[in-house]
Amino acid sequence: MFKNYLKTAWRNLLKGKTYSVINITGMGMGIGICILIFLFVNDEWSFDKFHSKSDRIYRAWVKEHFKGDIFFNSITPYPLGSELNDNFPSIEQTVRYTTINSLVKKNGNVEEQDVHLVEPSFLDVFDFNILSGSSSTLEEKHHAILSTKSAKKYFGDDSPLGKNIVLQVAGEWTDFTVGAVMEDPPFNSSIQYEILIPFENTTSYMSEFGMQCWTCVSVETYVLLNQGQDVDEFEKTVAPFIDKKVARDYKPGEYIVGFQPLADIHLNNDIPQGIVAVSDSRYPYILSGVALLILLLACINFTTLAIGRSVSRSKEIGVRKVTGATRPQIMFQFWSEAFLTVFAGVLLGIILAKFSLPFFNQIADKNLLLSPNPSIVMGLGGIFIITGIVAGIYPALVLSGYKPIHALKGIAATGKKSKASILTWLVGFQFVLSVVLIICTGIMQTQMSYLQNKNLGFEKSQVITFPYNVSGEGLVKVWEDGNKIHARLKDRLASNSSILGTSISSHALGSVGWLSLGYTDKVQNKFRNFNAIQVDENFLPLMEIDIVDGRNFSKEFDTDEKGVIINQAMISEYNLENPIGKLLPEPFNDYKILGTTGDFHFSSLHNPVDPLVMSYDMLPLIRAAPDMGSMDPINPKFSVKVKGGNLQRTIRDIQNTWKEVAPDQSFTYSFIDNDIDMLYRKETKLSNIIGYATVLALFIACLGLFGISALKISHKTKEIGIRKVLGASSSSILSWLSMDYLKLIFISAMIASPLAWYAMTKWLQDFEFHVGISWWIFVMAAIVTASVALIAVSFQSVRASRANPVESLRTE
Amino acid sequence: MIRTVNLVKVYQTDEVETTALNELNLEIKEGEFVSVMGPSGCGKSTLLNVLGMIDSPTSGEYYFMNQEIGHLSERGRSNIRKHNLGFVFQSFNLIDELTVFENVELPMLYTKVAANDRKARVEELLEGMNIMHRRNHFPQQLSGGQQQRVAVARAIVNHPKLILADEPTGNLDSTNGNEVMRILTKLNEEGTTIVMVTHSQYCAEFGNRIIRMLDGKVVTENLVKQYL
Repeated sequence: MFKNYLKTAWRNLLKGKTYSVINITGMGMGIGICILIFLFVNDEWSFDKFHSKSDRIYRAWVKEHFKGDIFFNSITPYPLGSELNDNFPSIEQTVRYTTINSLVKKNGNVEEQDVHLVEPSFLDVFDFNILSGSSSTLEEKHHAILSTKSAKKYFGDDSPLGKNIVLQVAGEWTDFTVGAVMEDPPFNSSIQYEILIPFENTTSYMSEFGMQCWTCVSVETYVLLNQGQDVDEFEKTVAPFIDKKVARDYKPGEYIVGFQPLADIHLNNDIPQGIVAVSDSRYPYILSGVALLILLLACINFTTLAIGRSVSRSKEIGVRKVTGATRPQIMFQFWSEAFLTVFAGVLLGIILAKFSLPFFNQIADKNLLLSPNPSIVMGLGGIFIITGIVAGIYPALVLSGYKPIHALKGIAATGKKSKASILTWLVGFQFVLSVVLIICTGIMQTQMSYLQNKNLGFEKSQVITFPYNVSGEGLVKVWEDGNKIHARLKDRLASNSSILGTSISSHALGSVGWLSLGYTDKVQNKFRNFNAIQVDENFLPLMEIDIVDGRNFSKEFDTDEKGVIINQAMISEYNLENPIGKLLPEPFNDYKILGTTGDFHFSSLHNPVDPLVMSYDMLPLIRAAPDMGSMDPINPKFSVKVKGGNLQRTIRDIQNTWKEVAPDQSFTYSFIDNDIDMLYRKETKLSNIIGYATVLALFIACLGLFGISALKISHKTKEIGIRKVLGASSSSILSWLSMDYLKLIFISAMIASPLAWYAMTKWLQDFEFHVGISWWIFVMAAIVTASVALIAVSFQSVRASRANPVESLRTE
Repeated sequence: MIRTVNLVKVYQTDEVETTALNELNLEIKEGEFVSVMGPSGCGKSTLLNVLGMIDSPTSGEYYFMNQEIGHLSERGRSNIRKHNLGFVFQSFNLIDELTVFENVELPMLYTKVAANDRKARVEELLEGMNIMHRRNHFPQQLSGGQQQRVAVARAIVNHPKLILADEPTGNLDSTNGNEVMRILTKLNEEGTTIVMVTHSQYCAEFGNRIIRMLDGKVVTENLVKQYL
């Protein structure tokens, strides 16, 4: 019997070739995008789960309630790990982990390199496997473990074991002996390492105070709990212990240490990002939703075409019923047909996914692989079954219910108004979805273009920036050296006509997480903070940041070392009327305000412009601040403004000069405008994927529309003939045939607009600075949908409207 | 075999109500060959559909082999239908996507006959209908006469007790029409009860009783001459 179903299904597929192509292409594209999104989501959700003990590994976080402010961090105090390890038998092991931006010397070249400092327990707690060498490498202070990738990078095909690699730690070039080579971390690991050195090396650059301090944060702390240990219970036992440790500065309950499951880190946006990168937990849901809706569009095509063809299928249903078929048997037959189509769609989907994967990886910024592993097979099986059931549900449940006599006469298939309304609902739903997606794409693209083109209050083009990297050395020395190097660099580049200027600053524009200085305002008894940057007198003119009031720094005035320039946000925050000549608030009241600038956007447009203090020498400011934090290292950064034209040559000139003035340094440069674009990478990724999904959705919807209009016109052939005999022109026939669709699109646009408006309002809330939602995007979305729909419909309707009336009449 | 008591069938459209069968009473015995005649719209086909259990009466009673059918569910009717009834239509109603062999085989799939038995039975019938050489053809590739022979083969493949034929020669030329009538007569001689709707007096006389209908009622019932 099943064979008979498949045979009929197969022959039906061949008989209605156009419709089969529409169904299979739509299904294939829908399933293809589902496969890609499934890979994406599977990857996002699989982060850190590959560790065999992942269910027992937790990362500590600290939350401090201090004078009305809350400081929440997943980077923890240095002593936390060892204190937990020594005092809690419910912990099997702890691992402390941090990174430094170091330099590697190899064959006379210097390269920038992130180096990870980990405790020896790192190898026991996490499943990162040693491929060769000794597992006790991390117990020797000057030994290092290389990942396979970095072993290849620094030693080529030679075995690196026992050889030395020269790293800069705490400003000193130090030889590390390679003791082991480890596998590269999987792409779905939050911890991404290249070079690992023992945690003991932190003592080279951390002060004794820093290593005892409970109010400073410097390392991530992971704990491996004992088998069966409940984390909530564990947290409860930790609380009184921590209260005692911080009793000098905090009341009980003001300083909380909590623990987050390892597998939760990647997608939990409620806990601040630590050293390891995190993703946006909403994106897997948004993208899954979009993929499923696109697949639903293909299923709707299957259903609408099944309804459209129900006239011709009705006789077959009647005959089968008359010869003894029961309703479940007919249902089974229709579902077999749906499953056969979906099966073809799955095959096409796999092919499409396979070919578009490199492109998808590029736009999604991933390294996904399509290989037959159990989760992919199960995912595909799930897609196959669900799509088959959904696509076949209408024909199976409705067409099978025809009474035999009605089915034989074709009355069941043509006579009911409800069928026309179901068709209208389904096609309408496709229009709604298309309009929603077009509006969302329109608004997202407008916002992305706004982010790229907004006047940030400074000139971001043609400026390259590169750091002077010395990790761990005292700031005074680093800045002394940095200033000397800058003077030499500036001097040597002065004769190069392609160089328009240079400057030195503690942060470069385009980087985020600038130094923040905090203190307790004694008058208001509350914690306050502002951002600070050290700049030279060239910084503001080079970046074309205007002085609004007062003056820029100048070498002519020795007193400028005790001067600052502030932005408008700082003026507003401290209600500074006529700020020039005034002093900064206590404890920074050694500093006099020399000038003010406008609110240029030194952080991303997700955030408001915060108060900013620019100083000529920030070290006394830092010393005066009871609290400081900076995600961006405060070592010197050089900015060089270049002329357009032969950029490659100019950059080569800068590089050569850099090598002369700072031979121990790497030259890792970036363009400020590129750095700024990178701030919106996550949103760019999402808007690109949604953009492509919209095109795909529109295409699939149009395929269905093409098919359904062909069927509708074939049912209206006689009516077209009669109308023409009665005097209707081709154009009036055409507009009559298109009018229903236009009405439907108008209503769909009305329904889609508030939905899209709501979704986009939510999305834009992520940005402090964003575009308004313009009415024209809604109109444009309706016009685009109408145009594309009319093109799809006109393939059929133009031909029908031009046919000789006698041909139309003869078909009856 | 068949008895109807005050059988009524009313078709209801938006505003119009049409009575197709109007308190019709009828009895057909096992082994009879009954021809139903009457002008268009008199209710002949409706009667055939109700007797064939592919349509349900609005009111009245319909007994098939002493079992009241009129108010059975579609599932119950389907069950009786597939074991006892065979249909032959004017427009053949073969499934275009199935071959001759598969069309004839179809009813046996629904009665779960074993594959070997199915094959033997279909071949036997196709041989009998002289159409074996066309077994792998599709309906569109056959002449009208051939298609109707396939339809008759399909109707009798499950050894039905009753064959219902709705103008089986209506779309055929006289040679093919005669051939179909010959087959039906032979089946009747072998014991199958036949009820046939026809416009043709010539065809009607192949049966042994002629029922004439008008406005949903039986107006006359005559035995065919040779049975008088």
